[in-house]
Amino acid sequence: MTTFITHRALRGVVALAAASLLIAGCSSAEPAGSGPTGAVFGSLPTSAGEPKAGGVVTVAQAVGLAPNNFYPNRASSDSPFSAQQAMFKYLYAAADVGSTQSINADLSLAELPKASDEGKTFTIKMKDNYKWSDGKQVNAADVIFSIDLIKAAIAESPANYYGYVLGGFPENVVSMTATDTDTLELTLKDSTNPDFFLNNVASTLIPLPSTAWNIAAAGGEHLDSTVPANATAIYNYLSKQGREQSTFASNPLWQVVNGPFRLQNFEAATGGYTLVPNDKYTGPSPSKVEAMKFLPFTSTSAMMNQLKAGALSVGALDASFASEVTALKQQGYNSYGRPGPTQFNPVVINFKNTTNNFDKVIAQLYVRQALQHLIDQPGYIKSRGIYGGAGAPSYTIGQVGTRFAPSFGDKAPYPFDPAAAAKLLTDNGWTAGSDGSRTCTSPGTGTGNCGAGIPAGQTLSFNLLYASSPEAIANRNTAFISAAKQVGITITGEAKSLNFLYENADNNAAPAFKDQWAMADEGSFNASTYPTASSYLKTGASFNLGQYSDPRADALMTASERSSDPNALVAETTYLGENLPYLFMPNPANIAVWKSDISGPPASFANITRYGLGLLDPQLWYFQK
Amino acid sequence: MAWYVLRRLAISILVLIGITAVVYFLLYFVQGSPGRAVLGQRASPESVAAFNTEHGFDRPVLVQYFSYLGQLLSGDLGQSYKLNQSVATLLGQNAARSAMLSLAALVLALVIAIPLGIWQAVKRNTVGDHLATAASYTLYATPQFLLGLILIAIFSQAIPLFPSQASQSPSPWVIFTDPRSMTLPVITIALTSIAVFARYQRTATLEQLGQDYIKVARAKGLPERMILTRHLLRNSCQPLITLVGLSVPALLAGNLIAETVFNYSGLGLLFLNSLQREDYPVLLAYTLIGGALTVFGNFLADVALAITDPRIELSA
Amino acid sequence: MILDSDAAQKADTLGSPHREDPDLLAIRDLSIEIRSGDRIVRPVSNVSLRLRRGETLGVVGESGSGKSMTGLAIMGMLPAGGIVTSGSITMDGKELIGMPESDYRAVRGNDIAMVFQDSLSALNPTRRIGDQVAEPILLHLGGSKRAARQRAEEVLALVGLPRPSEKMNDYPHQLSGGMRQRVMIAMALACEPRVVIADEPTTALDATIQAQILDLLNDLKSQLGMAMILVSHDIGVIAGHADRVAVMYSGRVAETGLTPTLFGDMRHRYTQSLLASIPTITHDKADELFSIPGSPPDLAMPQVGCPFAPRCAAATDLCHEAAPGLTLEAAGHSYSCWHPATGPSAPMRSRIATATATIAGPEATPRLSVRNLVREYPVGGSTLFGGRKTVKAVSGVSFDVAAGETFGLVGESGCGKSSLGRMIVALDRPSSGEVLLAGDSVTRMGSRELGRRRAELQMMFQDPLASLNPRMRIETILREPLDIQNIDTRGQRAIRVRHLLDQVGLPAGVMERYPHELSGGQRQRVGLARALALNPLVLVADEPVSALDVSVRSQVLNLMRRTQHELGLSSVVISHDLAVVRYLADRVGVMYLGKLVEVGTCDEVYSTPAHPYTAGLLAAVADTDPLAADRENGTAVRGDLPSAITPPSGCRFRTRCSQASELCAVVEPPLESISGTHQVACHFPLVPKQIASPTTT
Repeated sequence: MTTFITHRALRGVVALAAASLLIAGCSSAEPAGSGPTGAVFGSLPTSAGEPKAGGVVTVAQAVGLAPNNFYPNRASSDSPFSAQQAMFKYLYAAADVGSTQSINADLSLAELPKASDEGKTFTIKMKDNYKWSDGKQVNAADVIFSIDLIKAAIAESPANYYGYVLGGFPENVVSMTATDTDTLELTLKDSTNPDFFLNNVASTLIPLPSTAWNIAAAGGEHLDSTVPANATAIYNYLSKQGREQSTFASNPLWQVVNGPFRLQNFEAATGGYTLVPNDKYTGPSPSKVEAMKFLPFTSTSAMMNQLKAGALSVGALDASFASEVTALKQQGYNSYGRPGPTQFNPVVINFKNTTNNFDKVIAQLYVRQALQHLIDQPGYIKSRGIYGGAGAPSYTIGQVGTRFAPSFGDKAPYPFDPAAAAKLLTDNGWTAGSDGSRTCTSPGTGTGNCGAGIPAGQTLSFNLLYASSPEAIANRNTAFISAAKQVGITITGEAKSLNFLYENADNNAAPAFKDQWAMADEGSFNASTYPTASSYLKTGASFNLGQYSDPRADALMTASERSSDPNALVAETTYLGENLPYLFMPNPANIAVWKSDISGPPASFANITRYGLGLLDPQLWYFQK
Repeated sequence: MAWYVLRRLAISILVLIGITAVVYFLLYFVQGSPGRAVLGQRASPESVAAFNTEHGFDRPVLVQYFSYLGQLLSGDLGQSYKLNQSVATLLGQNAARSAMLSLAALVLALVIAIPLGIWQAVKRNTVGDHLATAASYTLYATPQFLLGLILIAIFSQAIPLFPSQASQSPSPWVIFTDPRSMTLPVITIALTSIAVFARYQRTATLEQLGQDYIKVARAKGLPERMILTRHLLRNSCQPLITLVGLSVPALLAGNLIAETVFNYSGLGLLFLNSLQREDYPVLLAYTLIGGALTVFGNFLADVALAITDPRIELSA
Repeated sequence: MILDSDAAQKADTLGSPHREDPDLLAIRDLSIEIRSGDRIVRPVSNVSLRLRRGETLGVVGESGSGKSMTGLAIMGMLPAGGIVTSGSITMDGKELIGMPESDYRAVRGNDIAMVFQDSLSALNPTRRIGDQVAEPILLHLGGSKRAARQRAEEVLALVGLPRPSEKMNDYPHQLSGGMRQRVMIAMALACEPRVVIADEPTTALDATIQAQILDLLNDLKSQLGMAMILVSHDIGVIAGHADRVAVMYSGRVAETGLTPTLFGDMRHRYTQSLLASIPTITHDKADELFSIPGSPPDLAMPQVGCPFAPRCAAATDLCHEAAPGLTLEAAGHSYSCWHPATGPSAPMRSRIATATATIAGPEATPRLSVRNLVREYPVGGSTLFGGRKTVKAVSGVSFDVAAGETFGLVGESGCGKSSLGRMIVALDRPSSGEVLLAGDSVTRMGSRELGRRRAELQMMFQDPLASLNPRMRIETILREPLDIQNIDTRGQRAIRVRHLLDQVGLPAGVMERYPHELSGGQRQRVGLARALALNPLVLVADEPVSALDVSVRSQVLNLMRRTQHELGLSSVVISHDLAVVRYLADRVGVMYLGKLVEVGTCDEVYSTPAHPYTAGLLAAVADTDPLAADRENGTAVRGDLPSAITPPSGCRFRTRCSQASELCAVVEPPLESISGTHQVACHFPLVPKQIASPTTT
């Protein structure tokens, strides 16, 4: 639930997924379904059977992401517990996958924030049915305590908080006051769009037990964390304790939780751990199972083998395992797959690449439209070599079925249509030669002309770098390149390591490489649940993909961040879908598999597809009688 | 002998210091900004700068190197950038497990490869020998992870004899406490070694079979079996001893593939992950240990050779 | 008189000194084939031999004559692919061919034992010798392990191993070659076999040791009442120790007879030629050695006619067409030859003028001068602490070689003669002392000048196969030194190569071939040609013929002598073989443990040896000279060569010298003159020293 979970964290998974492709057998994939709920793969069984108390649910942890910090407001280099939410609840709970909302108000610790004072001040009212396991109420002071510690952490080093954005939260907090035990008033420097506040600020907050953790030494004095020096001392102590993996399960600090589970056992060597129900839990749906075991895995293929052996209750897989699902079904597993709610798969365009006048050519919207017409999203999803049915088309940032869906809905603005692409080119002064390749024969800026800065004789020829793994990325680009060839556009594809692309392409962080790439496909990105593109498409953003710069887009993105209009983001996602700041590729599905002997609300399993195991509600699961 | 050990030790320390210098400077020039590596591409330049200052990476490289050496002398291998643990702890957690897995595989490989190699040499150029040779080449050429997956597909999934993952207990003694779950990983590692060892053993045995003392033993009227066990075995094992000595570093670290396939967290995997995370303190320590083990393995092989071959004297 | 094989056996029986004894071992019509792939080699064809109780049968022949294969066939130990195609071998009337393997094992090492040629690999390097000797005892005689070790110790004592109870726990590498050979004999005799097959038992040993071992075998044979088959390529060994001799050639028995008959009155042309081609220490140096042309036939080819015919001067068409049958003469003397000889051939006069060595006057600068040369090699690894041991390979050797003169260096293996040779041609640097080439110090030359002068110093190596690059054609090998020294134009070099081949008696067709395609003799000729390619001033030949078969050896020896004389080379010939040195050299130096103990002209040293060691060497050789009139053992050298790491104090030879006194242990004798050209380093020389030695005035 961060703003922009980076692709970097996924790298370990990606590398091992490549090796696991080899075990993909001949079993055919589940037919792709689609419907208004957005389910794209498999189907959700309704919760069945009577709950039975007890039993141990075993969950496969994501490969290479063993937790190494218990302190919830961790640093950017830390890996959190994948079931952290089961111990420390976020201030606002995420809504179920497929919901039009992004927040589940019922399960949240507070009422939805109320904006006032031109959208600068927000009031958050805590609910009173949540208690810490030491009996204390979860209240406004706990939120302030958490924010005080984040401030202390950032003051020491911006690297100390994973959610740090320069000039953003919490640096833009002007004041925070607990007007009473349950009410928090937060005033920000600028007016802020209420959705932006809710999704990008408030929902990232994790209240911490302010009366149990406000110490700077074991058994030490309880300090007033609003004094910055105290906050620093407390933060230093907690963050140090949080990194002592050998004491994760024994440190009394970490036994003070407000979620349905607490940590019982942690294996520092492997990263495996066991949660048991928190018997002091006061919230809704306490756990029915005896324990949740999170098993560590060294590779997805090792995980796959354990799934096939029926030794796991729950696992999260990526799209490359779609073909294995039939085999798992025979082993008695349910499966459900869909892309993450804020996923997008851009072919990044380098708007500043001057090689062969690429910057001039690509600045023309009709060229980008023509290129998007050449990307066969439904075809790639269906193709066995690409997603084998486990994917969904994507035409802008906000996904269909959410409040932020574009106004064109699920209808592609530029569907796969090579004829339309050819026509766009022909209509704008590009003529196919005897070998089929297009050249500009009508320079100029008028109607029917190629456009500004494009000379006569200009060719449509550029390069496209794509990640060498997973294989699906290479395959979808190969298909795209060959479609482009048909209409006279010469794209030279080149497979590169993901690392190389991160370091040299996408945001032009390597200026020397600026003229050496025209397009780059690095695979999936994730945006926040309020998917404004301001951090990566706004002019001057520090991570501007391909140096896209468009005044209208900038205005819309500013509105998404600052205006009080709840529909600001719809305008943004609609415009971006039509303006094509990059080319859209389909989103591969995340696949959740769970054994049929456990049950629970269907959405609790579907939610696994959101961020893998990142936001679980395992207390909803139970064994059937 | 004592002098020999001391002398070897002195040389080893010099070699190891050399290794630290080479590896340290190589990594220094490769890694660029540790802060960037640790915090990721999305981290702000402020975060990166802060990280580098905090960890002393803004100092001149020589200063950094000597402070690293100083730490080493006090037994401190440094702190992992990414795992929030000291490198020593990380290695401690993983080394024993890796070593036991490798050792078991090594013993199994030797127990099979030595008789097999001798048998092949005795039956050289027969159908059996050719089959064994073909099998050796096939095994050697098969990527280990494929071998592991094939074994799992057959012995775990088609015929469920063994679990598909190694024991998850953190104890290094799982080989004995849970032998069934260690069967497939051990066999996977052993198979590749068997292929190599058997080839070596076959060649060495062939050479020994050509020696006159075999003829002399035959002329004494000894049965072939006794010739092999009493006369040939010890002499023909010497090349293998050197080979095994050289594979000591792999004992700790060489099982990346098996560890990955069989879900057995060990040093090999730690190294791979550290490489992906650009976690240089771990890489540095790992390389250092590799160097130490290489030196140690050679030394062990020399001593073992001196014990099996009376012609070799370990003199200072 | 042509007989069938039964008759041959009968004939074989006649004339034996052990006529009354029943046959202990009888080989009849034995033929062996060895298959490897498509190739079939017939190493033994129709061989019949008999051995009686108490008798020593010598089997002599060159490599590939089938003598060792016959021995292995008796042991039932043919190499892989080897089968007996016909014939029989009986022991006490019991057929051995076709005997079940387990029964055969009971015979092997028990009734019939074999003594192999000493090599470091003939004993298991990793087992104690006591265990190795006890092994057959335990196997065949049973009993406790202790009893077996007890017996092993007795046998080791019997074979003359000093302090056997201690040596029981030694490993083979801790023993000298002579001691190892004794251990091997002990292993063979441990179960008191009735037949001992000694296959080249002394070939790897030095002459002084060789004599000891052969005498030991002889003594033990009579002591234990065994019969022995002594297999050797060395006619001297056979002549000295066999009662009867079988001469083998190309897998067949050419001639059999009592030893004196065979050497004194041979019939077969091969026997005659073979004997004539061996240099002896009594050979008249004016005579050129007889040499047998060509080389032995390829045993993989089917043989028609007499196998020796292609190399035989007396051969007629008949010899090429039909194999000769067996002819029987009196006293069990039989042979297979169409045109039998009548005794040894007359000595052949040399066809070249035997230029007397030009021993230069003292005023002339010698061509080669070795001054006080010392070479010590460190042993063991280099150390951080403590001192290092060194092998004193050469310890202060001085001598001169005049232009056109040939200087011979003799001595046992390990005496430093090869180290000396390498230093002379600057392949190795001395620890101290220097080598002068025509007055210029080679030792002090810089590498650039040395490179230029290297052409003048050439070496001929012992093993021609190892010293010729196997991937180069002969032409390239011979042209290479010319290329390196950048001599002549390309065309002229080709002519020079052709000329060189002509000079060493090789056809021009050899140029296109690779070393492995040539025979041993041809390869050594190439080795000589290469050494001669750059017109050297000095040629060092290190054991030039010791790797060659007897019949080929004389070809090379003759060639070397001829070229020496023709080219006026100064040569240093290094050999352990006294006869070879005598044949080639004008003057000779005797080395012992890194020192020259005697120097003189060949005549002086060979006829009136002054140093006890020289005398001992000569005695050991005389002992095995088939034609030597008398055999005396009085001056034999005892024991083994001491370690060169810690050589004895004083006179280094004193530990093996029968005349040594206390003086010898304290004072090292200097090299002093006996006559103008004869010097000796001994306190008690066998020839009195000159009172007023010119060197001491």
